[in-house]
Amino acid sequence: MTNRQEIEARYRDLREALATEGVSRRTFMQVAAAAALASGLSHGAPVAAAPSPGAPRRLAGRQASENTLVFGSGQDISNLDPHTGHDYSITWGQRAVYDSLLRYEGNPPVLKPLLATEVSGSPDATEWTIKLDPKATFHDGSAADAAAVVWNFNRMLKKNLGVAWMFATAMDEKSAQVVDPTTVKVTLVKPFGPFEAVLPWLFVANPKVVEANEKDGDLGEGWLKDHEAGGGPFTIANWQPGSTYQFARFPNYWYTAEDAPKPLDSFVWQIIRESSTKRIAMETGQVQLGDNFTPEDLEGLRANPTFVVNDAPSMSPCSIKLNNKVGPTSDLNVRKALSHAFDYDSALEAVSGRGEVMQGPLPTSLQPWHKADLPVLKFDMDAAKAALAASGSKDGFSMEYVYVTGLTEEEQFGLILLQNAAELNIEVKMTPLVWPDMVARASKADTAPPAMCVYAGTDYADPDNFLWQGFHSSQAGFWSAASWYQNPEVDQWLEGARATSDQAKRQELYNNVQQRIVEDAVEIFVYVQTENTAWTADLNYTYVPIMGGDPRVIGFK
Amino acid sequence: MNLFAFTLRRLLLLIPTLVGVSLLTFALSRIVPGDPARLAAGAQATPEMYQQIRDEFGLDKPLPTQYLDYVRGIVTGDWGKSILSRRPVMEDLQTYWPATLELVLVAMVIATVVGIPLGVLSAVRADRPSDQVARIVSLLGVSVPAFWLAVLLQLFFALRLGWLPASGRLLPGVVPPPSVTGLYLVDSALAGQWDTFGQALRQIILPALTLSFPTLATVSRFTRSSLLEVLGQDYVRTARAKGVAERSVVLGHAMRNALIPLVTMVGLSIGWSMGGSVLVETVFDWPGIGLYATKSALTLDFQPIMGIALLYGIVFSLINIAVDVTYGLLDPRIRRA
Repeated sequence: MTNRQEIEARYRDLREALATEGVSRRTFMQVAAAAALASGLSHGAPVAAAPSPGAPRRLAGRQASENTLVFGSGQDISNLDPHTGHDYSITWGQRAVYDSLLRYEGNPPVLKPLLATEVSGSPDATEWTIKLDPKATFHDGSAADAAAVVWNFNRMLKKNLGVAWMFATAMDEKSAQVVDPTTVKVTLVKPFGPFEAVLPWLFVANPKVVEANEKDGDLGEGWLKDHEAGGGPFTIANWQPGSTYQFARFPNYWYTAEDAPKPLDSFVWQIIRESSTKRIAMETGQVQLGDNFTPEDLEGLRANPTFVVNDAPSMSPCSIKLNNKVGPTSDLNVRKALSHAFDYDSALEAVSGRGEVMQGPLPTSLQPWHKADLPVLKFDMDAAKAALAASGSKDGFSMEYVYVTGLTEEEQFGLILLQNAAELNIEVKMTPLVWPDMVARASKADTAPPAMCVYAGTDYADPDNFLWQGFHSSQAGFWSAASWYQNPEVDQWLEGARATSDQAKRQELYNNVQQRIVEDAVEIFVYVQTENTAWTADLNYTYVPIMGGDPRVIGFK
Repeated sequence: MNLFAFTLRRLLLLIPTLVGVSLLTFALSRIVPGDPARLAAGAQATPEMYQQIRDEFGLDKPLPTQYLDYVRGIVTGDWGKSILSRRPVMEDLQTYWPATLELVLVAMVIATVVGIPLGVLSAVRADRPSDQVARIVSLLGVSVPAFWLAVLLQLFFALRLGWLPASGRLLPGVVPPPSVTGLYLVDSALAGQWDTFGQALRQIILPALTLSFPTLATVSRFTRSSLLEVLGQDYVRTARAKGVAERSVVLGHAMRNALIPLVTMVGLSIGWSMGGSVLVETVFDWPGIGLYATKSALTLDFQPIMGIALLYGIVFSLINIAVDVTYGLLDPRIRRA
């Protein structure tokens, strides 16, 4: 062996030896106790100089101003481009620097004017007229007018990424036309009833600024991922990918919302991934608003009157998608048996009670759309046995339950199903997978798991968001439609609801859809999460269950 | 073989190593199940949107063509872009890599500055109480899980005492120094921004301490065993017989020889610490390459995964070369071998 090899071998031996080194138990305990006493970590040891964790302290020098909101979140703002980036964290950044046509406010969410003061649709939901606020300007002082809005519609459609899926099935690049400087007319290629509900996601960038930063015909994509060309309430002050995104108030912002608190001087999106770290950051005053805590940390914050814990229902339903196309779960009675065999209350206990049992495919908070009198299947083992006896698999079978690796609550839902299904002689095999693998499994009916736990996202406050995505035949193969439910009658209702702007008519059609989906026991409807956020009591913040909140209406009391 | 030829030979050997790394990561990224394009397209993407992403990233091309495109890109400085965030991989690596490098370097400084004296103390007072304490520290160092130690340090120093921040590379609102090296401590010192320097130092203490602990323990025990071995050599006995002061015997005569193997050990530890930084970066929200790697792997974002693997391949190889060269400088027999 060379000297180098000898050293490496010796190093390995040493590490192994250390791991099993023969230090006597007595010596170890003596030294460990001394170390614990010295550091004040032993139980009950007073730490005289320690400040109380009860009251959040704003660290000196932390912020340019006390009127700064720091949001601690685990999710990155990976791409600020208004038309190619779209997720929960990205939209927080986009709302800070861009104006959209409309905006969501409150819970349940309602549409409020922003760039658009009025949106009206034809009865067949194909022609939409958008009246713009003549006061609206970009940060360079130029008008955010109809020409700019049309340019943004077309850039979004050209890029065909991000939010484009909400628009691209119903419009093309000829659809949006300038009528006059404050009026845009949109003629859709297909009727789309929820058109108004998706308008909060058309963020309007300043065409002149984008074109000035275009490179190799990329329509400014390379530049816009970490620069802004907007007219929103903030501008970018500090951009540290993967760490900190700081926005400073734009002093000449043109828009003021009704009853809005004093605007923030600065808004910071701070990446904090670990729940315990986030809680410490809140308790030490580094952060005033945080999300995605463990139940323990959330309860710890609740015990402190300085914090407000959000107990509002979210619009993120969790369901177990059953394969309606292939295998034993393609049998309606098997699906009914599994739905009856699932203990919904135990599932709620598994998430520390932070949620409510789903009553059909729509979140109950989606009003007035949720149908109240649905024949939802309850936990009832006798009914489960009867349903299975009527099925083609009455002697039982073996099936997979697929869930995201590491997501404890999804694992627990599987174990709840496993326990009760065993009484029906159904063997449930737990299969943890990483998310990309689950998406791949769902892409074909033959590989889609018999049972797969999925949380649905909410992009717009309309039944179309949930029902089209999960149950229209065209969506089969995407993870949101992993149940491969393909029912021509349901398709017809869903398409009909898209083809009218008559809300009463739409309500009727969506009632039909909800009723049929529950009768067909397409999925096991598990629960709708309670929103997982907390903030300091001095913050004036209204939670919006669609992609969070809006920094233009948040302030300190 | 002279030192120049020795170094050149090692550098040339880097090429087949990197070709191997690129082939392996490319093959792995293509054989794992899952379709990143479907994931990137989103839940309601139209078939056209999905196909557009596949076309843009060349996913329908034959695999050899995809690999050649990839290699051509690497050579010309285009390491591809993330299919999810659409950010260029090279830009991301330039952003995240300095944070990990800074963390690992500070951890290594702590490990050697504390570990070596602790090892010397153990050796010269072998089997006495101070040696037992050092042994306990070493035992804890290799057996305490990093995430547990990290949370403990946060609770004590950030929450109870309020002395140090719990997470992040700089506090929110603090603007980083102008980037020269990407290492905040160095850049803030170069710019004379001493407030920022102090802030960056406060931020790095807890994560660096956590990361340094296993290496510190190993350095300490390695120093102890090396020194004890050297202290038993004839030339040390001769020095003592000549009446040389014990301090001079230990630090002047014995330590010089005892520390030579440590060069290799510390060099290797830098590599291991980079690999082990993922947990520490996660708990302390340190925006380094470990976090970037984890995020990319969990979303099957294969271009960043391949970029990170290649970067690690280069860095590990360079560290190994540096260790060999240093060792060769210290011990000419290695160069002749």
